[in-house]
Amino acid sequence: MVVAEIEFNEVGFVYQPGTPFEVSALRNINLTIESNSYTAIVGHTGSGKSTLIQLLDGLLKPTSGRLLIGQSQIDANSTNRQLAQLHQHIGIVFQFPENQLFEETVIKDIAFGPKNFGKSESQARELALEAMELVGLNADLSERSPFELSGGQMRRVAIAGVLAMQPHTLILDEPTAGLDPRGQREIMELFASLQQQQHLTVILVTHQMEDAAQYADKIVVMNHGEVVKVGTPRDIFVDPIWLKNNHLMVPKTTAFAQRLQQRGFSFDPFPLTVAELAQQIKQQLESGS
Amino acid sequence: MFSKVLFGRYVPTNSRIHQLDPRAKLALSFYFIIIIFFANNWISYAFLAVFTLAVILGTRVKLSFFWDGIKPLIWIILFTVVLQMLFSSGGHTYWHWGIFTVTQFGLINGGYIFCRFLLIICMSTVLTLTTPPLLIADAVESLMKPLVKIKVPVYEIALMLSIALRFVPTLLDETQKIMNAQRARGVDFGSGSIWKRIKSVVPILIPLFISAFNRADELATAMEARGYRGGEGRTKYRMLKWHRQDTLACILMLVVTIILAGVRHY
Repeated sequence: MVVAEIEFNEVGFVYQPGTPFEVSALRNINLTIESNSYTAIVGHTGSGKSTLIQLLDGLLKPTSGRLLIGQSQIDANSTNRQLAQLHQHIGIVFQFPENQLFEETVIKDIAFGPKNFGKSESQARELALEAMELVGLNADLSERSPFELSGGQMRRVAIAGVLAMQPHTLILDEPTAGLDPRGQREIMELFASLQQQQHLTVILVTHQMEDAAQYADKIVVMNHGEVVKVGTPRDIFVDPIWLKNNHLMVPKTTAFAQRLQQRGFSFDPFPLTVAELAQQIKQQLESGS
Repeated sequence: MFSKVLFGRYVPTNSRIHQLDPRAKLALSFYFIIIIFFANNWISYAFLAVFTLAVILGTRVKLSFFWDGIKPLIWIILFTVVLQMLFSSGGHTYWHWGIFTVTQFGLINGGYIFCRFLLIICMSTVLTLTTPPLLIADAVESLMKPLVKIKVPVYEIALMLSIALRFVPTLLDETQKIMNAQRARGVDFGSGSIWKRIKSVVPILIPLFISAFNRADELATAMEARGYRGGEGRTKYRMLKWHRQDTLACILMLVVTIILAGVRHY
């Protein structure tokens, strides 16, 4: 598998330059994403997250600066061919990815990506079956129409369609939006295990601070088209006032711990996940303080 | 990429022309298109062109937007003009080959048709650049109201029109999203043989149709849930008001007509 580091170098992006509708979506982005890392990108609506991930996958070209993705360099002069090569190595799961399904059967839809990248019919089928297993879809479903499935299953089919291309980097744009709590947890666990077992680089765009706190190694905070802070979940979530100023929520666990602290508990290090919080409360209750 | 396709796009600059009542703008632009056909010599065309130019400048919208409106139609215009030049008879014959003849009248007619097209497109672009689509739909409803008496389903037509217009940007947005998703899965829209290009449309069209039908269904449910009942007695959120400036615009157009009638005889 190709291992690639991603580097943004003074990247900027302007929509419809030279018209009255000109909008500067990104400014001076400098960012490094190590391979096999799990990065969460957070920021309120309109902060430039979507533009950032479209640049990563070569769906848009930067209007200034350059991007290094593995061996390839993308800047304002890159050709469509160079951009198209990115699609193969960088998989992107868009918001509500089930909206992109179109084939007659589940297996054909999943095999669509690999076939576009030059795999033979049988190879593509093989990859599709593997991908179905990865996302926990029963092989019985392969000949069914994707439109007969439940919402959660459709989402898995769409995700499998991206995984079947065997990307080294997986970009997730709010992958759990609209799923029930159990479906959300299952999907998030799936990505975490893919990152560890398949050595994928995962980039998660999310509004769910709990997910960012629980799964990411690194969090990138964006506001008004700029990266305002990069750090570990602990760096980011210890300062509730700063978060509020950047229109971000505190994870529920952290908020809960903060309220407990007002009532006499003390936490060190500050808990980010439910498991950490429970552990620390248990310790403090047992020691009777 | 769709920003170029949308030649009928509203550009807010809040000029005098933007502030006119949409009914006045709609009726007057139709009226103007009709009187264009009464122009019969160069002076009358020049007069109408000067008037159109004055209106265009009055909108305070950048000229490039008007050019964007003309560009997609330029081939149709040239085709018609060339046909006119090759197949008209009368006057001095300059060139003759088989069934093709280029004559004096042919050339003149071709020139006139070119002018007509240009004026019509410019004036209708003025309408769409200065009036939000939903207000145009309201204007259509209001102007068609008398037809209710002869059982024309005016309210239904107006509702259909405003829903269609309302969802154009939504559908374009949706198309862009689906295209992005399929490009990320390796579909190449811009290259390959014609057959390949046609085939690459399928992965866009099917999801687009599905989402459009779902959306229509949801819209119908939402309207029913809020007790929508179209037709007689329904009040409006956007009220159209006729101001003095609208009457003035009509008078101005009347003056234009009179002058046109005058210069026709030169």
